[in-house]
Amino acid sequence: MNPAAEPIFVAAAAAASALGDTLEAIWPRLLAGETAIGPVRRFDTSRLECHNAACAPGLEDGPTDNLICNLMGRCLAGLPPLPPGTFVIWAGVKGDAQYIEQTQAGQTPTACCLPRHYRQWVGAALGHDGPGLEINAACASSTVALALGAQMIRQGEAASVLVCAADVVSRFTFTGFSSLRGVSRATCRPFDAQRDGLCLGDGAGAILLAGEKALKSLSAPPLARLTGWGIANDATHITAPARDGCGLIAAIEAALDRAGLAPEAVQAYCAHGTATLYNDAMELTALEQVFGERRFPLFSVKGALGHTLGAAGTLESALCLKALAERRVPPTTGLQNPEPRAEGRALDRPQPFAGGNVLKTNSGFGGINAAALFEAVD
Amino acid sequence: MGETLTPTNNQSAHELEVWLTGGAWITAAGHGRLSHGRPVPLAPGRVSLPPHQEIFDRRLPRYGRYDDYTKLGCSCVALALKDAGLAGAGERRPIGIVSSSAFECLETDAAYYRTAVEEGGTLASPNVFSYTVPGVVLGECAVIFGLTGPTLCVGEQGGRGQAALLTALRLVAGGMADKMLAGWIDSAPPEATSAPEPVFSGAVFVLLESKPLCANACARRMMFAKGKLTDDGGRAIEALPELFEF
Repeated sequence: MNPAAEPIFVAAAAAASALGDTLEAIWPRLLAGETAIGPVRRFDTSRLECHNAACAPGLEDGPTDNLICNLMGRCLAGLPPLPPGTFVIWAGVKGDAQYIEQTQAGQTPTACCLPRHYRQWVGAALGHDGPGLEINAACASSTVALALGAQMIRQGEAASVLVCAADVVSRFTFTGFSSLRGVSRATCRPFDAQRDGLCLGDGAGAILLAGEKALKSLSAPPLARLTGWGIANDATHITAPARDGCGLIAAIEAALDRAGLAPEAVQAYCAHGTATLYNDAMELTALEQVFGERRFPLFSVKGALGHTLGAAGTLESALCLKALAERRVPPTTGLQNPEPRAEGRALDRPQPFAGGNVLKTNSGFGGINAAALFEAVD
Repeated sequence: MGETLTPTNNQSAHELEVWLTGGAWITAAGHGRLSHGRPVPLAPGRVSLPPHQEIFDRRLPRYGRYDDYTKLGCSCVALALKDAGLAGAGERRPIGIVSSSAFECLETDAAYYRTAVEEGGTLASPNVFSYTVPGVVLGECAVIFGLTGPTLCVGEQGGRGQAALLTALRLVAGGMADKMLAGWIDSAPPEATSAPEPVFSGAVFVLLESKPLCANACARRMMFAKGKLTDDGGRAIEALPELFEF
C-alpha cells in the first residue's frame, strides 16, 4: 500500500463542556439551541465590564484539586481503552493559569502546571504508558494536533494517536481577554450583525485517530475519516486575524488538496466563530474566497459552549462527527440577525445537509490557522 | 535563483532526505551561527541579547513591547535566517516554525497575572497578556519575516530541541512545508534556577529544507525515517545543539 494513501479513521471521540459531560448529553441540548453561558460564579467579575462565561457545573467539587483535570476526567470517561502504543498528544493552552493564580494568592498550587504534566496525567488516568507530545498553537492547538497525529499515522510513526485537550474559564484568561476588549458584555453571538465579542467556556475534547491496522483492534466501527488537513500562518498580526483571510484560505485549500476534494464537495462548515467582529468577518471572507457565493450550512457552537481555547478543535470536531452522522448541523446559538454575508449560511436552528464532508477550522493568537476535513464512512 | 541541490533517489516511502542550511544560537555564553562552526555552549545564568542592530536589518517598532521570551526567540530566528541566507523581510515565504520549550512563557504568565490581581482585574495589561501564549513568539517571527508556513510550539522532551526537530521533520515529510525552522527557546523562570539540576536559558534554531538551493555552502544532508534523524555519517541526532558539532 502506498503509505500516502492510508486512510485515517476517527475511531472514537469524547467531549465534556458546560452543556454536558458527554457528547450524547451535549448534542441534543446543542440542537435545541440551549446555551450554557451565564454569570460567572468561579471568581469575582464585579469590577470588570464583562460577567458571562460557560462554566461547567460542579467542576470545583471534582476528584482532583485541578479544574482542567476534573473536566478532562469527565471527557476521558467517554473513550474506549486505547490500542497499545497509542501516541498521546496534549493540546490544552492555559494549563498553568490555576497554578499561577494559586501561587500568587499564597495558596498551595495544584501539581499540574505545564503541558507535560497534563499529558502525563491523561496517561495515568487511562492506564496508558505510551509515547506522546504536547502542542500549543493557541486556539488552533488541537486542530493542529489532529493534523500532526494524522501525519504520524501516514508516515508509519504511530498506528493510533489520541489528541486530547481541555481548558477552563479562569480569572487569568477572563481578565486577559477582557483587557483586550474581546469579551462580550452580553452574550456570544457568532456571525450576528450586532456581535460584540466572545464568551469563554470550559471545554474538553478527545479524538482517537487510527490507521487501518489499529482500527481492527477496536470493536466499534469508525465514526468518520479524517481526509484532509492544513496549517498556515497569516504573518500579519499576533492577536488580530488577517482581514483578507489569507492564512485561513491557505489552510483550507491545503486540506482540500490533501483530501483530493473540490470545494463543491464540502457541504457543511463548523467555523471557529468566536463572535469577535474581526474573526467572524475574516472567516466569511475566507469562506467566500474558497467556496464562492454557494450557500451551504455554516455554524459555530461558541454561542452555546463558549470559547474553549485549546480544546476548541477536538470538542468542535467531536460535534462535527455527530453532525455528520445525522446529516444536520446544530443552530448557531446566539444568532439573531445574521450579518449580510452570513445570511443563508448560518441559522438559529438546525440545518440538514446532503453529502458527507464537513470542514472544521480554528484560528488563534500568533496568526495560526488550521483546517480539518471529516468524511462520513457510511 | 540558485541551482537546486539534487536529491538522491534511493529513499523508501517513509524516508525523507532533508538539508540543514543554517542555524544560530543564543545562550548565557554568547551567540553564534552554524556557519561559524562552533558548538553551542550552554551555560547557567541569564541570557544577554546581542544589540538589536546586530540581529535585525531594520528597526522593529514593536520590539520594545516584547517579553524576554519573545525577544530571545525572535533574535535567534533572525540570526538563523541570516545564516541560511534568508534574512530580510517583505516577501511572504512558505516557511514554518516549530519551537520546543520546557517552561514555555511561564515567567511572562506570572508577570501578566501580577497586573491582573490589582483593582479587580481592571488594570490587567493587554500587551503582556498577548505574550502569554507561547506561539506568539512564532507569530512575531512570522510577521517580521513574512513566514506563512505552519507555526506551533511543542513540549520539550529532554533533549534540548529534539521535539521541535522531529515535529518540523514530520511536517516536511508530510508535505506541509518545504522549509521549516526548528528551535528551542527557554527563558527559565527564577524558581527553576534553584532546581537540583542546572536549568539553562537560551535559544537554538536551525533551518531544514527538503529542496535547498546550493547558494548556501554549509548545507548538510540528513535523513529522517521512522521518527529518527541521522546525519550523513549515520550518527543519530537527538538534540538541536548536536547539529552544530561537525
